[in-house]
Amino acid sequence: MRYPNSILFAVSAAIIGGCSSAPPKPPDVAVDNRTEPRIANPNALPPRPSDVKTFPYKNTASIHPEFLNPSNTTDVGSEPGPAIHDTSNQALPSVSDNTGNKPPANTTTGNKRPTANQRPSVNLTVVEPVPDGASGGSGQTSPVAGLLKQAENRRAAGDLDEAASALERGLRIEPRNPFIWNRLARIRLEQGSFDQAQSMASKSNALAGNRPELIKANQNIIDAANKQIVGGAKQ
Amino acid sequence: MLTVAINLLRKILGLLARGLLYLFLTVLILGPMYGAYYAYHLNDTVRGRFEGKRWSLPARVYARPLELYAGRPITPTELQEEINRLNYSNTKSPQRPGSYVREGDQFLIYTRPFQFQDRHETSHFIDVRFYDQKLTVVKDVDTGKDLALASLDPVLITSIYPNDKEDRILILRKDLPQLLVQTLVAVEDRQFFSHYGIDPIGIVRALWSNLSAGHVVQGGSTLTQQLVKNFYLSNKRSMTRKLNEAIMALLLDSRYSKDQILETYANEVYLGQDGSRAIHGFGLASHFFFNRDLEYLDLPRIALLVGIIKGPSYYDPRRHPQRALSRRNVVLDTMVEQGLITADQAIAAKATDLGLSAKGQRVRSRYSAFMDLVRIQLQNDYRDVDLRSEGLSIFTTLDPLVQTQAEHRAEHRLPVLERTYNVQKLETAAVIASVEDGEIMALVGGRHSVISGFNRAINAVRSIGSLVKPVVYLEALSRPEYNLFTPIPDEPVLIKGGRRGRDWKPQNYDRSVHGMVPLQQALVHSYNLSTVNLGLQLGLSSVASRLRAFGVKRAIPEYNPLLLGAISLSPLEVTQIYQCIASGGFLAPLRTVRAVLDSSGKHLNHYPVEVKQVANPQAVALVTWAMRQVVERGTARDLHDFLPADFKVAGKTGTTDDYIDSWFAGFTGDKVAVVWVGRDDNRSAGLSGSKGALQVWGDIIGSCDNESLNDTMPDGLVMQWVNSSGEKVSPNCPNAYEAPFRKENLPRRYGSCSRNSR
Repeated sequence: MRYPNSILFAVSAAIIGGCSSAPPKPPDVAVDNRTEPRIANPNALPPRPSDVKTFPYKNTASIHPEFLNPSNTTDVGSEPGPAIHDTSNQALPSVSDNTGNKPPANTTTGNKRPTANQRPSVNLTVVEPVPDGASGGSGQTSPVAGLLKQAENRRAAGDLDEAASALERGLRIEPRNPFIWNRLARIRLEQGSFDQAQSMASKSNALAGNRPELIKANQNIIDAANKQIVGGAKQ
Repeated sequence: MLTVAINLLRKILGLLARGLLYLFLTVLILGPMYGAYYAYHLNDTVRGRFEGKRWSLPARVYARPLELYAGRPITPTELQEEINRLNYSNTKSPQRPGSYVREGDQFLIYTRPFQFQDRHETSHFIDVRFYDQKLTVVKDVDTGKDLALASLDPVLITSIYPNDKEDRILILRKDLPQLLVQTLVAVEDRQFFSHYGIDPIGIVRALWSNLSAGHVVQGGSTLTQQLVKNFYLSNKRSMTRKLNEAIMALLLDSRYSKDQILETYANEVYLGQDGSRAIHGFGLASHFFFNRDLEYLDLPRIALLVGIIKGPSYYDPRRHPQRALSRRNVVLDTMVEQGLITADQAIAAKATDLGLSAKGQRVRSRYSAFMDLVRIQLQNDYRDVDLRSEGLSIFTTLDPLVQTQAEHRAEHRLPVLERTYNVQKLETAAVIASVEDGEIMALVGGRHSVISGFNRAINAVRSIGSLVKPVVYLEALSRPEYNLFTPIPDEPVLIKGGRRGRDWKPQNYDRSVHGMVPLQQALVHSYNLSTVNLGLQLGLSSVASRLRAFGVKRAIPEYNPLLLGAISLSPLEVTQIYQCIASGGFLAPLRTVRAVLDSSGKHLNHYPVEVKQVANPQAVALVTWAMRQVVERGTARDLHDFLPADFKVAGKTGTTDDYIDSWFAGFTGDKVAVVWVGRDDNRSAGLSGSKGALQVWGDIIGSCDNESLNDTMPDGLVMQWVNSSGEKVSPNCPNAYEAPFRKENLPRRYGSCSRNSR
């Protein structure tokens, strides 16, 4: 709300003219308080009843196997997540080209950067990670599994940037997880960053150990990126 | 004739009178109009000046958010530190975002919601438990379900103007200590919260007390008027100026809230002089005088700070401590009089000294060394016009836990080194980054991180000495004809007519000659002669181009001494080289910024993870194995004093001629770190790499959570038990060790079991 400037000027003029009476106090100007931290809607949650929360709070329920990702507000629907809850160290699930339960790369819609004709026309297999014991701990849900799933959802929804962000977040938790590097390589390929796609696929390979399916998937990405780079050079 | 003259005169007089009347009328009408115009003009000035100060909202700079998940390496103490930095309130039953309760190894945290660069994190009430110093459980209190991942909001490191070189410490209204505000109002402007910008009663009262005291004891200016005064550059005193200031104060007061005016005042008030730099604002002044954040000022210090306002030069506590002391005590009396403190509190406060920090220190805000690099990277990567836009959010890679440890350890280790080795004036620098994605977690620019000055991590460009050796050996191991046990001659070298026509005759550290030695042994013990011989076999240019591939952008002097590290680089540049090795040959550009958002939450830009393969993974694994041996049994054995017995780490010491520079560079499974110790004047620090930099490195890394180096070898490499010459032996042999070989050149010959090893 703005106070009428004219009043103020008249008052000021009066002062210049020698009148020393104080001007009437205008209401405070309502300026958006941009000095507040960028917290979106800090009061979004109603205060909670204290009776439930009084310390010490003990919950003896056993660890729930269900993955719950606090930041994943989208409904994951019926899409099966990565087979991370399986704690037995069984062999890798067999992967057949383009029959996975994830949409293949070339059907992705809403892809932002590359135009349709730039997009690599290769069927990229999605290799599902299996727990390797080193991460997440025994019997625990892995934070990375959730992020991989989230990234896959974002990717399916066409938001490659957000998918990449989720994968990068995963890398900070498990920087040597070859599956994350593989997924990120695929996103970069779809975004048209062919150099990065190749580098990340190579990186995934360097960390892949004895996982032939993953290495093969990475090689597909490298080949697809290479085709694009060579094709681009020809044009 | 006369009548004509009289008529004329009358006419003239008539005209004159009418003119006077018109003039009078004009003044009567135009005076206020002019006044209004003048006020309008002033109003514009006020708005421009004030908003120029206030509305250029600084960019908010955030640290990395702390991610919580079961199995994360973190101790309860570290979580507590993070919670403290976030100012979560400790309450018996957390009911609001930003509160928590702790009982031993269990925390219940009501997290704050936060808008990250890529997602909105909602508030959660989480139950976090530790067992045996490890995070074992993260669950949602309401549902009782395990949470795979929860993140706290990130710590706000500082607020900056990205284009501004000046290191201002901005304080928001809500962060102004209440006692400071009360004291300020009590001393400078008692009617502040009720007047309209000027305070006639205050003027009268000031006049009265000045008259009765016989000299000036009180000023009549309100805080608003004082602030307006700051809008002018000159300090001229005139009636017009006074009048202008009064009008502008009225205008200001009518336009902005008291809190807005107070906040701007608190950041603008002039409080002292540091050489050519004016100290404006309580935040900076608090660091300048007391070397601490404003929020940590006690009663006597607050009284002093407010007292100084009256005459920053006259009451300069460093130059005129007596005047400052009595001024402070006057303020304390006023505080008692106004009921802010009790008489007893004042007596206790008066008994203290001024509480000043050591003289001549140029102080800076927290994390300033890291912020130096943030500024550099922002200015390199963003358009000026983007950085000038208001209210940016900058998400950085800083890990406050690691940064705090690094600063603390460096500061405490150097005096120990000085005492132990009887050396003086040591300085240091350190860079700690994550291995795979090149995020800088911490950066130490000098021994005293709060004192400004030379940022050695970025700007100390020093000869790197033996730190270059792993690159030479990596170049060799990238070629099929070399393996870890290839014999290399450790024999005298004489190169005639080198640089500036002088002969070059390098020597080993201890001036000995070892004959033919296995390649790994030459690196493990940092033999100069074998390194030079090996480097000459490889060719200088191949070593130089390897360095370029590892991110060195400076001109590389392609002379023979390059093989022994005759190239000057900053600790930051060295970190990039070692990051390439640590990550298995994938350069990830070191970065401090993850993303920048504008005030509407839109991405200005994003620094994605980038990698580039710059070396063969097998070759890197081989050289890494040798660098592990450097720590196991070579020049960096002392590192064991700092790390758990079974902890695997790789590293390399560096010492330059006459002990001028002491270096240590190395990596764990997740961190790559480089430490330099030396003197600013380039004189001998008297420390080898292992006596100096290694100690600081060990201190820092030993204080953080680390992952041990991974044992798995890349495809194509096989482990084999060998003796020190690289011949196959039984694992039971004394001194036998398991070393990696390329499948195609596994040793075939069995060797002697008793062969000694070095």
